[in-house]
Amino acid sequence: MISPARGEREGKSPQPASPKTASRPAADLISCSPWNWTTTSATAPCSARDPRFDGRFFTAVRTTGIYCRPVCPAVTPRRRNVTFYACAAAAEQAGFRPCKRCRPEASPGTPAWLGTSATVSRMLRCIAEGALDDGSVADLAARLGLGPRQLTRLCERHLGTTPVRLAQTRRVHFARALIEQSALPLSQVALAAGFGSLRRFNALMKATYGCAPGDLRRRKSVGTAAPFATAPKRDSPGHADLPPRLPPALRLAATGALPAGSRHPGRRARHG
Amino acid sequence: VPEGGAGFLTVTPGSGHWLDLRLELPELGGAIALVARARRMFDCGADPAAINAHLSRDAALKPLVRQRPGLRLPSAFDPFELAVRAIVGQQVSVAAATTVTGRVAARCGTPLAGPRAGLTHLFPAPTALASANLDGLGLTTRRADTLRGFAQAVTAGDLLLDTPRGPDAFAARMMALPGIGPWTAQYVALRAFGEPDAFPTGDLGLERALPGVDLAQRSLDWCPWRGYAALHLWAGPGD
Repeated sequence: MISPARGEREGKSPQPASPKTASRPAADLISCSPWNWTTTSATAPCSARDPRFDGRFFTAVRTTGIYCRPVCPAVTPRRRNVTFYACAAAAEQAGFRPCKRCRPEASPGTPAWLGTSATVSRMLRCIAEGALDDGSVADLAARLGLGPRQLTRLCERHLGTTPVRLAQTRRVHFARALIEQSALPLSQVALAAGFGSLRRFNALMKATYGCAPGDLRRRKSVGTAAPFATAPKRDSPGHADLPPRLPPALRLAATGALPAGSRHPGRRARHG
Repeated sequence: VPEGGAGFLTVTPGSGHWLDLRLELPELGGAIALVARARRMFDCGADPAAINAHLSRDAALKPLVRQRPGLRLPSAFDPFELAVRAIVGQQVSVAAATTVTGRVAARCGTPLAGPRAGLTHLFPAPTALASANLDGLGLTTRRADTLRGFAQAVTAGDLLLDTPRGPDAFAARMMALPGIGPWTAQYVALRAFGEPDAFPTGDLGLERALPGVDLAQRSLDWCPWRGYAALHLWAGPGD
């Protein structure tokens, strides 16, 4: 895990809780898993780096302040330092930073099964498709047939975080993927990722990654391998058939249930 | 095709366990939601292991699951278009429904400035269909009325084209419209929204796949993945 430790560069991080206090334990994972994991059995897929568990939970390491996917190639941490989270947003809410090697933003997403609660699944779907980009939590709750407080409670119970956090984390992760895999100007990245303003974009990226978006782009070679192929030039062969004055087009892979991210040659973006 | 302008969304098989998605948009705002949408269209979030384990408990489904262990539940980009296809497809063959829907699109849709890959028109918006003249397209008068009634309900906001409260709540609202029965409503919930537990009871293909079985009863064993069971039954034993 390469990232600087949590809080190293960011005095005024909006993340309030320390990793110790707000642990959202594997107990919650068990309650929303059809497989009745126990706390100890959840470590087995980590040490095996089993891709089937990718996206189902995240492991956060108290000593480094970093959270990872179960497939992270980094050294398996000591069990007593690990906390499990049902989603990336919960780990970030607890003050952990995404690992720069396994790239939680490239994980296959929260699977549809996440539901002893069908309502939680539908909430995730609505948020993923932009419900909180131009609507409020109250609107979303009404769509789902709940009161706003009821929705927030349900979300807390199953995912260990709030709907607003989920929406934020999703934007931040999408933006990071575009920063690293495309040549899009940062203002366009913010727009594509659904941020209301550049100021907000800069603040959230900094809070999450501990550095400004521009630094992320400059540093994109950090990690085990160059994860994404370089974008072909506009005038390279194979792109001659594109209509002229093509608007910025982005090319991203929708990752399925299997390994994604760091060995992902299909992910690239092109700036037209 | 996002609102307010035409764009292209191209999905191709990736060179590994993923899909390549290519978006060409007039502007990048909302791209994040389109990626999520594409993921839903191809059911990228499915958990085949859990679904297979559950459906395999039924002796009739077990061999089908073994045949297609990676089955996903693909759904449409535009729920309105899919619903129109479902209504047109009531009691006619898939081929006939496709032809007639094509005629509806050609008459009421907006021609694309730069057609591509056989795509020539934007599918008609609900407002365009609500008062459209649908004579001479091969639709019965009743079916044309059903289509217009459906488009009017969507235009007026009486029928929300989404399933935030689940497939059954959606189906109940859709069935309140004249000419729309449980088959159409559940089929739309399944194919327009990818609702994993929607199940078009009374479907001829499903009844043929499991002759002599009370599907309404039997399908309860398949909850909450009745939709995948329907896809397995439609696909059949194959080769």
